[in-house]
Amino acid sequence: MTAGTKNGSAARTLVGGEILGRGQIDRDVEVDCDVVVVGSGAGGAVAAAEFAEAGLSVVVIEEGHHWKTEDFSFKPGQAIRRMYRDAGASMTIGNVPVMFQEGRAVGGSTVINGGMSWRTPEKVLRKWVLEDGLPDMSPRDMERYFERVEKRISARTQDVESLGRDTILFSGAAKRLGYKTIDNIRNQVHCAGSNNCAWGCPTGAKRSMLLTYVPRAVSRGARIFSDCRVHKILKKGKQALGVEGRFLHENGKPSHKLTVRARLTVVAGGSAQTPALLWRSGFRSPSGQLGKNLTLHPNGKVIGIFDEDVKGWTGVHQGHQVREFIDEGFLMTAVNVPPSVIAMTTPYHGRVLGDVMRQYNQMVVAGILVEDTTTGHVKVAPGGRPFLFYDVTDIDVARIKRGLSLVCEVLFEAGAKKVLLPFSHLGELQSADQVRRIFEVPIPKREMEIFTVHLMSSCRMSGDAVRSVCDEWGQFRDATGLMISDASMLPGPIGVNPMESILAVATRNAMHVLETPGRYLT
Amino acid sequence: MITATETTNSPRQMFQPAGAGPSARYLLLQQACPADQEKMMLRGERPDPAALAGHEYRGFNYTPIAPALGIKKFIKGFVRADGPDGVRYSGYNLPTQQNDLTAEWHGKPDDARSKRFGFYAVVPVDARSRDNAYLHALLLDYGKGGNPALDPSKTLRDYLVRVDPGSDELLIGKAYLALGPARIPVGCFLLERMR
Amino acid sequence: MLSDFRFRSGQRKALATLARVVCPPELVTLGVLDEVLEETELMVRALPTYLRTGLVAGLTAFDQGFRLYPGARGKRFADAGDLAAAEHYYESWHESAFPVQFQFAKAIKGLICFSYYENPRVLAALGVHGDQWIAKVAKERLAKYADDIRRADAEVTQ
Repeated sequence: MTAGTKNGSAARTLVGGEILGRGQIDRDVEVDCDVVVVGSGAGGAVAAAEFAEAGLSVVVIEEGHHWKTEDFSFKPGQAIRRMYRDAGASMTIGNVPVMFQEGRAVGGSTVINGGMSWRTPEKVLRKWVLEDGLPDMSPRDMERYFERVEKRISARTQDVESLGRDTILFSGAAKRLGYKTIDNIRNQVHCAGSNNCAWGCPTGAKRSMLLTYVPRAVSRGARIFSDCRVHKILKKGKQALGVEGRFLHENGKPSHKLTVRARLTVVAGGSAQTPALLWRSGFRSPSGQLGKNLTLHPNGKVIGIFDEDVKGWTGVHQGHQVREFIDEGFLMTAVNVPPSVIAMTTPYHGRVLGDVMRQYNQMVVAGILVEDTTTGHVKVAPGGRPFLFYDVTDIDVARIKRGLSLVCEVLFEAGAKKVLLPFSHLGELQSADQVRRIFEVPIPKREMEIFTVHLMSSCRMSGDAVRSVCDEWGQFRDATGLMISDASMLPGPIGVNPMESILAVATRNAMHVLETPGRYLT
Repeated sequence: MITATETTNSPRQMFQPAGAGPSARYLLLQQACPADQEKMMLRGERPDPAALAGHEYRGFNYTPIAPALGIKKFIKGFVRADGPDGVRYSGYNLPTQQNDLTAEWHGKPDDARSKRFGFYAVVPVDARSRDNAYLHALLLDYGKGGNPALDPSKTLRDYLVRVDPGSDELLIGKAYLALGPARIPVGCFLLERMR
Repeated sequence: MLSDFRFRSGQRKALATLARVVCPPELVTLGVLDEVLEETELMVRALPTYLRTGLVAGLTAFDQGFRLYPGARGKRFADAGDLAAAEHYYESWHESAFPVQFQFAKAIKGLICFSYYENPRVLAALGVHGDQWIAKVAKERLAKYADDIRRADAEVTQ
């Protein structure tokens, strides 16, 4: 890899295997390489590592900063400002605003996620094979990719001592009710149960991309530029030639320019940013599907209050999942949330808020994840910012209500003395018998508090060119030298946490490029 | 580049008596609406030029104004030429009798005397070039066909894909007019191997 | 990313009154008002420009709109002496049928209460000692699993 400087001074040879960001860049930079990857999250980091391991010269560009394990602590506000795009205040536009989070850091959203590592459910893979023209994605075909990524991210069950009282209470009650409950498999090495997953793992136990695929790529010579926002893909006609971006000051203002010329450009910015970058760069999908088919796994939560001290902050973020109702389209789990987030999202204020929050150590926060039955779309405003449009369907509202009612049932079985619902006019439930109130009283859509961290499928892949943006290998259909490697490529919702699916599909697609380099690395 | 004399004077080796006529499937596909035509274009694979060479295809223009222009039915042929720079593929058009759509395709005035025109080079689509509408198609580039200087057919660019995976029997194409940097879509056409 | 935005003194004063309405009374007894306002400002600085602009515009409208509220005696919200009236006014926005008012009230209350419960003294009063817990379990983890962790770390680049 060589780099030139804009002022015409002699090009210096870049040493592979570095991460450079603001503070280390003092002039415009130009680089030539085999592969440039935009984004260092689940899909981008995998692509970078696989290509670098194969001996290709790789440059990764990450908009976020390179935060390290020692930077993480129990300061959600600081973490949100540092590592959540738009301070986590992103919302879809539609009948019910859905709050969504996108990670922005070296390692992407994997630095702030809960780390659940699930294989794509077999019924989903079979659907992709049958309906989406992806014949090489059967459970048997995907087995080797799942095994590969699981080894590299240390996907395993939790040590018993890391489980918190909240997850033990919730899962125990679910089992007593006869609900199928499984131990979570997470990407971790002896998770300490610090419950700081969403703010950055302070012990290094969570094996996000920051601690796995990123160092793997760097050890094989990949160069990573952090604090740099790519604003367009360079092209000649419909051939991608690389990217151009700007380093960012701490206040977000643009600084020096970065130009990377590459034989293959991999876009891995996530389901909101990837279609926006493609659109800004003048790429269009002949199918008209670019930015469409957005799915997002709506989440909802309730708060159970117990007599005993639960201290949900002392134990892993999520220890179990209740899978009894997965065929109905949702799963349930206990997931502790810090006091600041609860206070922000509950409908209380003033003295009443104080009274509720004084019971924080007696709280179990539990919620559901719904496999959505509808899709939304991403539109790009003048200026290039993406906006997400999504209408929650009545079917999914019904699933949310049913799921939350079942969560309430489990909490009362676990010994909760009351359950706080996210709907202000419904007040608190004092017993399982009152759960039916959720169904008896209409809930205005504006009262529903729905959030997600799983944006998917806005640049979906498929064997059918009419219904996809990428082909069956993640190659953008209406270009050469352009590939997508993030959640946006997934054909549809999965119904479980998608990180491992993204990792496995990204691995599969990268390996396909390496098996047929003449076709893709022109 | 193919020259006009090269193609008009070459022996009519591909002339054969009329075959069994258009297939039922071909006639059915002529009913496809514009949305379905576009879907076929998007889904199609790139034809194999080596498999096309030495054959003539009956052609059907979907464009509504085609009958007024006398080009509802047409015949396209493909040839292979081996030269010092390697193998090159090219093609031509034949004026065609505008008889009933269910009747066989015949050259005008007849098969023996119809004169080739509208020559084109047959190349894979280059993503970097201006003519890159369908990257997965074959490009029939009339601008490189060796047509006479003022021949309006020089402005045509056709994209060609297979209708059925793995088969070069049925093809669908889309024609564009190249006017300076602009590319104006004209309409789709359907080809079936004839002889 | 933190923009260079800062609240003007009048806006800060309006936020201070609002904090006394939406936060528990311990805001005053623990003496954390200024810290909460600083944290709120940091969160607003991290917002995208279009949201921040909307929020600040909403705050101005909220502040000035109080003048027309019964019990306000023509004062702006920032200068509201009667906290009960101020609370009723806030609630009227929170219960409003107009989405813009409702969304603003929800957002500003969310930001301020978030900031309140980020405060170390507030957390300590709640009995939440996150950093101490992290230090404890991190130490225990290393003591018990050092070899396994070392092995796993070495495998990352193998």
